[in-house]
Amino acid sequence: MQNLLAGGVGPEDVTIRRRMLDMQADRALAEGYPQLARNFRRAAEMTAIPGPAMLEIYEKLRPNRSRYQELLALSQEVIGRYDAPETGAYIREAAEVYREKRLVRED
Amino acid sequence: MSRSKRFEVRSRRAVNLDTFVSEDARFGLVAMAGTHDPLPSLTVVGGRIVELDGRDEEDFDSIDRFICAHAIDLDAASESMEMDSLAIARMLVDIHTPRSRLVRIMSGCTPAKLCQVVSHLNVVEMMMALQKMRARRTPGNQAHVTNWRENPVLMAADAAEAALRGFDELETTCRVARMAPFNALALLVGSQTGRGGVLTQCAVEEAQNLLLGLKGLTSYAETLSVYGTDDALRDGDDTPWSKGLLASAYASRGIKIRFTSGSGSETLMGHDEGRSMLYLETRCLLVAKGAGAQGVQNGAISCVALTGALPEGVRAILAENLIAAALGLEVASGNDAMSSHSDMRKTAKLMLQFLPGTDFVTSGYSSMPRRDNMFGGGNFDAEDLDDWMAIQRDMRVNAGIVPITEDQAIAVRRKAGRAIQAVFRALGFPEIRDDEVEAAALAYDSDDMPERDLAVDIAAAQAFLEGPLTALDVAIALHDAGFPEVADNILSMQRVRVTGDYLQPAAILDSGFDARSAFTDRNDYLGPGTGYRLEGTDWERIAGTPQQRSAEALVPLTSGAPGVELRPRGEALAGSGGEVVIGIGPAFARGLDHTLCGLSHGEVLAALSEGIRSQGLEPRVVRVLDSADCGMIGFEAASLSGSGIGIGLQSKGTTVIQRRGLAPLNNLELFSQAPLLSREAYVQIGANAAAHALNRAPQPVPVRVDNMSRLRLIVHATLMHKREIAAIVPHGTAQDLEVQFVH
Repeated sequence: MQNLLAGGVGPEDVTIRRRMLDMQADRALAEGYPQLARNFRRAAEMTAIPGPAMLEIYEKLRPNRSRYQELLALSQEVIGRYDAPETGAYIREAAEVYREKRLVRED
Repeated sequence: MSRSKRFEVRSRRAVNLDTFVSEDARFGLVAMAGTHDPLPSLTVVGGRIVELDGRDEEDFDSIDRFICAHAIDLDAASESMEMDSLAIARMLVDIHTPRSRLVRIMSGCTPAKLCQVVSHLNVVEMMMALQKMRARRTPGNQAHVTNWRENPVLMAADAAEAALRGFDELETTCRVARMAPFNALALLVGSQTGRGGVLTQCAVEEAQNLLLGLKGLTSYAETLSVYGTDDALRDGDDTPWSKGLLASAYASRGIKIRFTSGSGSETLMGHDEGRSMLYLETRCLLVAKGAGAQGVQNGAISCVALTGALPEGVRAILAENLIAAALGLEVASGNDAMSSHSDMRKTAKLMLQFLPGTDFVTSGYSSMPRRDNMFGGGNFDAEDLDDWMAIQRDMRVNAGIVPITEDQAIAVRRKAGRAIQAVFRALGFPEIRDDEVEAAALAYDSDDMPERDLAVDIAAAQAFLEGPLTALDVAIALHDAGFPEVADNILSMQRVRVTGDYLQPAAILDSGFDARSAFTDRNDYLGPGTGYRLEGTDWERIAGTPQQRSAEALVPLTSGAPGVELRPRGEALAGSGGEVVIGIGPAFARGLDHTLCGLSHGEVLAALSEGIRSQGLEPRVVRVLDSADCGMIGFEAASLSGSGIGIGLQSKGTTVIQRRGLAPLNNLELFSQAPLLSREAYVQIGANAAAHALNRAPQPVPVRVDNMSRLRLIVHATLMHKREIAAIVPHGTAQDLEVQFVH
């Protein structure tokens, strides 16, 4: 509290770091929760993605928002720009399904 | 046609306001085990699922694709899908099969397999299974905190009281969407005033939800909805992948989430594809699991009256809670939306989650009166709290709420009101006046609150959202305004994001801000003597409701006003001639002073005497010392009576007319329902006793009929009788008494 009052604590100090999420992922896997672990690993990667960009990615993954190529490009960007291979793969996987299931934008 | 009067009366019962509909697959109106549900099957080729529940890969919809890619553990599947579903069902109920073994088996099951397993269980067996499969050892509960006026003071006060009552999570929403930031703020300040560590959420649109979380104003999100068919999911403007990404987005900021599903939603939306509600819900649960959600809110939720309208709908709802738990997910188990007009019926449904316990027995107990519930909920509300407390105490069950006294409620509400007032002042928000704080402390609902200028509040709320202030600034403001503990709590709520412990399945925070989750509060139930037991101070707290009174308080020592003074004047001897002896118990007008019907002992003696005299005989009052039994007292009175007729009268008012020569339990007339007697009745009893002595015909004694009297007074009767027994003098001889009425 004293630290906070002295101005030594900001919002960036009370958020989770990549390393912590990776540790929680390890714990989840050890406890028999592999999907939770994968979620935490994606989240660990996403700590590097700024809030507004993150919301944009979410929007683009909603039904009929993006063309197939746009999703592929998004996948590449996430991998390259934010060092987020699992998140990128997840988006790529979505892109393939969306194309087959008509969840991409058609125009 | 002439109507049956009973059918007519019943037609007006609350339960007959509910809708009951017969099964009809054409409209998706099937709760579980539908004829169009697929049979379980799974074909794996080269590590890839090529057929799921009778559907080939090329016919997979997006949900099938997601489930196959993420949810089903192929390792476990090779064993699980070969196991007999009945065998798995038996293992769910078997006290020797641990939770972990079953989570593993279930992780390899297809949706149809999961449904087939639970279809073998009756509701008692499902409850046994749920007790074991619940993720967190200790049951918990969640409350709704909303009000129609969007009044932040009332919200803070309600949140504080709910937190003090033991709710682990509080959820708010908005009638006026742009008030969200203030609603979230009020919930945060109020909850941390009641108890540090209570989790809070504000259920609004997805992007807003995230924004509030980023500002530290909420600590979790719940309304990440999933549906069990592609069309329904599309109507919900999401896909399994977008929902999964959203889940990771929250986690990347250290914020806990759970998904929301619930049977009936696909049917309501017209996209059931002819499948049963439970089958579609099971697909939702596998989407949730596949996305890596730690838990779900399920159990029909808003659609409870739809699922519940069907035969075994309530059974299906319990089944969906069980499947979720068996998949390892945290479960917030419905009971929030109005499920029935009938209190009996909705409480019966509640018991299916209440008795075994779930991670959150309700996914929204309306902590305020349901008029103020902006979720369209309020199945159980502020008025039902004492009933809930009584049932916990009756059954020795912890269903996540604890009793508090009126003083405690008022004090915490007032403190929360002052705290939010201080925050508003420090951050330059519209003023909260002292009279608003006081009104919130004592309010029934938002009608009791002075009006605020909603437009001004909305503008300030929006500025707050768009501006730079966060929960950290709120903590500083509270510290400076003299609320250091609340400030500390709010700061601690921010800090829990750093470690992410509360992202673990079924995590809540205790008052030390430590996460109690499936990993740290492990459900180790393996039958009697194991798992969570309500014991020690937790049990004392639940047993000790404010309504509970000590024996001394229920039947206090005499007020000293029996209305008569009875002075002993020696041993009672056998009488002669025209008398009726009234035998009284050892504590009569001496330690006890009123009967159960409310008359003073003096009034009873006066009435009996009047009746005796009306027939021309004289009353003689004698105190029996060696027995408290009504029959024995009457027996001794008759033995001493000159006419051979005696009256036995216990302090609690039970009366008997006895004749000398008859066995003690074989009497002339017995008035065993003491609460139903009256002055007129006692006069007639006296007259009847004299009539028996004179061989005249006795008259019927006017006795009220009241089936509630035993319910109301059996405890009092017991305590009074114990008092009478305590006054016994063993082998004491009956005393003759001088009677002096006192007014």
